[in-house]
Amino acid sequence: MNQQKPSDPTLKLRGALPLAPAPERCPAPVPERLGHFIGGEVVPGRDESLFTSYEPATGEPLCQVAAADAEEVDRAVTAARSAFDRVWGGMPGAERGKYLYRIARRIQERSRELAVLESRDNGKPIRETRDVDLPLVAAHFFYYAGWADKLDYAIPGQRVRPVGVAGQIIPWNFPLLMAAWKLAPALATGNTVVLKPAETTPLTAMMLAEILAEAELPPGVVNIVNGAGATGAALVDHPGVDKIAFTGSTEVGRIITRATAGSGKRLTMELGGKGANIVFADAALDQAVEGVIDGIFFNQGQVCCAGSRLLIEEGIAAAFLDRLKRRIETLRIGDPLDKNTDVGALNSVEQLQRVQRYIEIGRRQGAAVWQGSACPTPEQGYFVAPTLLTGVQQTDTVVREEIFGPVLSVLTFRTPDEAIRKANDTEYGLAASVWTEKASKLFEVAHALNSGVVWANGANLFDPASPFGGMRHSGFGREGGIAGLWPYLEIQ
Amino acid sequence: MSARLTIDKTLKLYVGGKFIRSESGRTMPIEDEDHRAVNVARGSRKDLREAIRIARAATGPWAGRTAYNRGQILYRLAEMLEGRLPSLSPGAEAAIDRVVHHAGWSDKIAAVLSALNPVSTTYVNYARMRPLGVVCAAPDPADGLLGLVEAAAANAVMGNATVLLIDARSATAAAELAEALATSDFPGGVINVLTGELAELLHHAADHDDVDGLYLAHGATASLQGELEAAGARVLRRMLVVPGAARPATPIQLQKLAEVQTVWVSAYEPQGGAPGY
Amino acid sequence: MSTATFRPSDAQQWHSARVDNATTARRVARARARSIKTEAKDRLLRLALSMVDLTTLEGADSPGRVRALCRKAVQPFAEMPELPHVAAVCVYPTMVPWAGQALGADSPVKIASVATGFPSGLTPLPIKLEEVQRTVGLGADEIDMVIDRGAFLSGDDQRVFEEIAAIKEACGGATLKVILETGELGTLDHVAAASRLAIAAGADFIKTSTGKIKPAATMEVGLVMLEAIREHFLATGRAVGMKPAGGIRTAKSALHWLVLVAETLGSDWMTPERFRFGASSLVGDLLHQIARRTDGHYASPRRFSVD
Repeated sequence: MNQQKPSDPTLKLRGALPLAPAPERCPAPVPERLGHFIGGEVVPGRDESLFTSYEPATGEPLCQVAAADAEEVDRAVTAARSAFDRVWGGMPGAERGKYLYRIARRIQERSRELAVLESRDNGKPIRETRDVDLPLVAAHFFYYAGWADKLDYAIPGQRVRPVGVAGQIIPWNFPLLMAAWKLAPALATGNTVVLKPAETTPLTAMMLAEILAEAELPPGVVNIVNGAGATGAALVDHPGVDKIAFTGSTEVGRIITRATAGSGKRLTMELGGKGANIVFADAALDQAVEGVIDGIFFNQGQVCCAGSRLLIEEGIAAAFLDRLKRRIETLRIGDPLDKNTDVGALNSVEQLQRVQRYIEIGRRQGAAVWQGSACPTPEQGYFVAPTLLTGVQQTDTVVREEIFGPVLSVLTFRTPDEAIRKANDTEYGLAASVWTEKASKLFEVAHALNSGVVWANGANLFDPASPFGGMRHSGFGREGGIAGLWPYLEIQ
Repeated sequence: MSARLTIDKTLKLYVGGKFIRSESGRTMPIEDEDHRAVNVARGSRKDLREAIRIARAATGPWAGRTAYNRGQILYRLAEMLEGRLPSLSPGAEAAIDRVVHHAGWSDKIAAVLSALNPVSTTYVNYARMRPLGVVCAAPDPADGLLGLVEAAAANAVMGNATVLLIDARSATAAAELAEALATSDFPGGVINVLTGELAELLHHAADHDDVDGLYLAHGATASLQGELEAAGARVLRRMLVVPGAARPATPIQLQKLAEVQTVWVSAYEPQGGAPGY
Repeated sequence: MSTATFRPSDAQQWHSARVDNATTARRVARARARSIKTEAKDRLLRLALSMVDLTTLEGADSPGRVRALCRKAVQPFAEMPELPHVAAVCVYPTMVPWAGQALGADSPVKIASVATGFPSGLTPLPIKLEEVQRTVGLGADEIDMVIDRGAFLSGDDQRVFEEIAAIKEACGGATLKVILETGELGTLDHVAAASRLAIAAGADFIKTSTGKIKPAATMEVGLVMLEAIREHFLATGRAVGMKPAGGIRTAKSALHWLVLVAETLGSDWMTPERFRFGASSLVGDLLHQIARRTDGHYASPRRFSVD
């Protein structure tokens, strides 16, 4: 699209700002072996269950992790049940809230250390873990801490009680933040928890266990079991679990929904997405570019609410793409622990291969592939440069399926109606962005989108006060805000 | 003098504002309150498919009406039912009052369930209720007309288009509702009434991926719930199970007939504090 | 060079540029989050020093004050003679001869002067033109003019445009920097429009502020102006320079500005030919940080001269 003539004025953006390495130096030792956190005790797990977790930026082994089997999961659920019955379920809300405030403070105090561990484990830039993930983690605990003694006002006209024991299964893309999204509302409402972190990102959850212990949270209120799918299945199937909260792929969400059908277990599902980023010709264009960047390259695009489909009004499409490419050429890809890194590593070799496979599919189906960044992509580790796929259509695989990587499919539209139709032309319905400076159009389009979250002149914004969650195949239930309390409460 | 030969009426389906026979050509015999045999159209999988298609088309225009107007239309339904009160089954007064109750929610439920969220950045953030879309609803036959209007009105007030799946045993109540709907101001397709074998209809509904939500009265569907949940996994379908129609849906139950949609709108970044203070 | 002509259709286009405040602030925050260390810091601190328009604009300015300023402009820090000189001194018109005398002929340090009824700009145009011509005649290499904000805000783009064009002509060979006084423009949309207007009317540089009004050079305003420069360059090939002025006091904030310039306009703008800092106390902190990098310890501010 829009081949430039050699005589066209060009900005020399790539390499305009040579920067020395700026590594984050806060010490954050990685334990050699991670076990589980059950009934307030850190337990080593079984030797024969150990598997290796790798560091995405290097591909080198990072630590050994134990996987919990059904028997260990049962111990965790039993501990949670006992803590629910004996202490937590009946504790006055104000007291529960104080524990959450303590946890929030302790997280703030250890935030840099947590950010470093998260970046090493996940591969995402320290700029994000430091400036986005960790502040939001603490904010979530602060927010729900304040709800604990106000639950009489959570549901209009109803007296409420906790559900009981919640099994929570979280993904690898925001390991600690997803733990906070799950734990904070569950604990504030008086539930106890068995949490299973993703098998590729167990580090920060286990450090959180330390913080919970330091905060003197009663044993068994939060239990953490490590492991992969089998551990998750054992948790889902356990008859002592009253509620499952899951964040992850739509495919696994379906499996869990089937597995729990008829069991009476309550579910919250936060699943995949294929978000549209709609840019009208009357948008603030440079800020829309920024929103597109935030939408698809934040966390290397490994975000369920990523704006992975760019819909540009046809009249400005070529010029807008030029703007976008110029901005991409200032993004620094590389060491996640370097404070100047904008694009880090994908989380695992599987994820790397999946993203590369999708780029190849796009190419085969006729897409033009453009990749850019301010510096060369590292050879070692799981890196993919920011990628644009142009010349794609609504029917293409890369437009329909969630890629979960720094890959943006570019489409065009002519009228607001067409933009809405194309944006809604997906089975998913998690998040979308709209860029226009015309207020009447902005609200019309935002409300017409089949999307649980709509950012009008923004992208990938999160806040504990703001409900987050999907429609249709993106799942159900909300996390954040007053709506985030509802899934954890029963009507009395 | 020989007794007059009475005219039998076959109770038809009510879809898209029209009374239609089942495309299957099948009927089910039931006994009405006076122990007379009545034939009821037996809705088929194809009838359901057609009803869902028509309901889908009705969702946008229905949700697009003002809340005040939807409340007026619901109240008009109560007026039409009231006018037919002498001919309705016993206990219909409660059903009429229930319609009035929900009519009043129309322009208020958003105020109870929505929120303006104080996010820590210069955005205006609100959570609003957005209709689910097409809901298949199975009221408890034991609740009679009350169960039907509770399911229909709760969904209508939240902006959904509904296909009522009604066991032939409640066909009389279904006919009473459909006939009132036909003379009310409800646009065709917003509330559709299918009679037939309830388990069969529910099975077909669960099998149809364009159904956004299932509204289930516990008494009617308890034995089917596992199967329906498992089938819903394919599309992550919303399910609302209500105990029955004795009480009207509470705000939090109405909420489950809608999606929370969170909207962030960028706001002016003030220089040196909020303007106007 | 022929004088630019005002066309109402152009004005419509200047005003169609839209800016979203919230996202602009996010972009600036990202630039501020850049961490500039070791060699990169050494290099950029020196570059920043070479971009300073060392400024004194006080009613009490005197030949003595200007002489002191000029000495510092040529050699900011005698202990480190290898450091670059600043780009220019910036003084009131009556001080231009004293600066010329202090710097001497063929000085690499330019003389900039604020003509056109600085800082309000509310003087009749013939007097402004006269002031510009005289100031250039006294030896100014660069003229920093202010736009008529009242005219701009009341919709009289033509008046603002034609003043700039006339003053540009009056400058002859001197460089023209056009001050928008963004602190009085009220919105980023206005900043975007005023930048486009000034560029179209012939500005060689656009400049944020007089230094007399707060807020002065915010980075949000700066980003919008840099984007206007970028658009004009890509459309016409003409490279306009940028000068934030007012409120830039620390080396750190100067480095953040350079990040924004590099990431918006690229390496061709990383030169005093195209980018300046209008500042006075900034030089002290730049020297402080340069010395810190060279010596390995943190010096007392008293090590660096006050003027």
